[in-house]
Amino acid sequence: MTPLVDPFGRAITYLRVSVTDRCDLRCIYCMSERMRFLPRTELLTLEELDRLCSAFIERGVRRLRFTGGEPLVRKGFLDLLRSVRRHLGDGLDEITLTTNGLQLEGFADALFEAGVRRVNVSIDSLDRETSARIARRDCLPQVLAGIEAAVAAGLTVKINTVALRHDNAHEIPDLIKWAHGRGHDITLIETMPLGEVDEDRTTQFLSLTRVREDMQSYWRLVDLPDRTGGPARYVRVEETGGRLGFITPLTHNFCEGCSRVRLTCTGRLYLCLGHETSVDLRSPLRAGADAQTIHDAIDAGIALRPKGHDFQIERLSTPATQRHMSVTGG
Amino acid sequence: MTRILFLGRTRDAAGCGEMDCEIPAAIESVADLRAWIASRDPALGAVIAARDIRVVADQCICINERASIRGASEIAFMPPLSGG
Repeated sequence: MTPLVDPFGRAITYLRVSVTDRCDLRCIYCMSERMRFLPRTELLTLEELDRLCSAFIERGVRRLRFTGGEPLVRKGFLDLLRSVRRHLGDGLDEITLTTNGLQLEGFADALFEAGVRRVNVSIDSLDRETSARIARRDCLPQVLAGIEAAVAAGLTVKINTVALRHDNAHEIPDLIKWAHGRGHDITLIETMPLGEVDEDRTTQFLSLTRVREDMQSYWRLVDLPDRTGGPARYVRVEETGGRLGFITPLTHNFCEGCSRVRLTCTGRLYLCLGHETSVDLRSPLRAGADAQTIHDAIDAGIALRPKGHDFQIERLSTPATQRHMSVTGG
Repeated sequence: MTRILFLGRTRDAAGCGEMDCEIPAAIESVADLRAWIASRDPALGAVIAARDIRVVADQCICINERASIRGASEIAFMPPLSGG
């Protein structure tokens, strides 16, 4: 099988797969309180997910990251992992997931047994009330217990924090100290203009360029060359000894080395986070397409992969694209 | 009414970036569309007939020549390397 390489010579080695649009939280920057979820028949079945993941692995994808919504609320998710793990060491290097941590305590051991070694857990505040306001659910104790369980199970945990001007800006240094004190990398994420939410996103926008400048007034940040095929830029905080990532989709372009594509829970392959152009892989699957037809469809998409995305800050008040991150995967 | 977008080198051949037109009901597939345009403008037809020119209907990339374009409000002819 020929490896997937886009017209700009970028090899596609990383696939993010959203396994559900459902979530057991309603974070203000992600969903509205009354989020309407897709009918279940719209979602790829576990078999369809497995088939598509396997097709991408055949074509050179070495890393799979499962996202949602919240992947741990998808029924049968562990079965999918147990199936996909057959590729580990045979083309596939790692299986990871991004989770809100709410169900992690119950899943941690099973995830490790299913071949997962790293998880990203979202924590936007260490203050229970602030956390409850952001997530619209009182979730912090359970999430912290989930992280404990994950570490005990042998999983490496990275913390993801969405930077919000009003809700957690003041708390970011403490979050970093907390994460690094426990041996976790932490990545700060700028809000992204995807999908309609209740809040006006421009009022919550917090430039990480500014955050970083502030931080440099009291910490020494040393640029690290580490790239993970994705948008994060990393520094080491000399004072804490930990690694800190910045994901700044709006104020910094990260397209030139982008190795990733996204598969939505409805089977659409998105080639770039900022572009709406996609390939519907579900229709041919459900029409009984053979393996070659699926590979041709994937090729059709990769052939049109854009050079980069073009989010603009002015567009923040209206989403750059209409799809929710919970469908596409964060 | 359907908006047809011509991107990259198809734009030069079409002489414009976009046009609005009524696509006859008989035009159902990507292959039909290419043939229909070629019948109206052979020079443009020759350019959009190239294998690497993909048809994208309402932002969804058509995966083969049989794919339906019926009912699309926007259809783009996209060569590789045209994205921003």
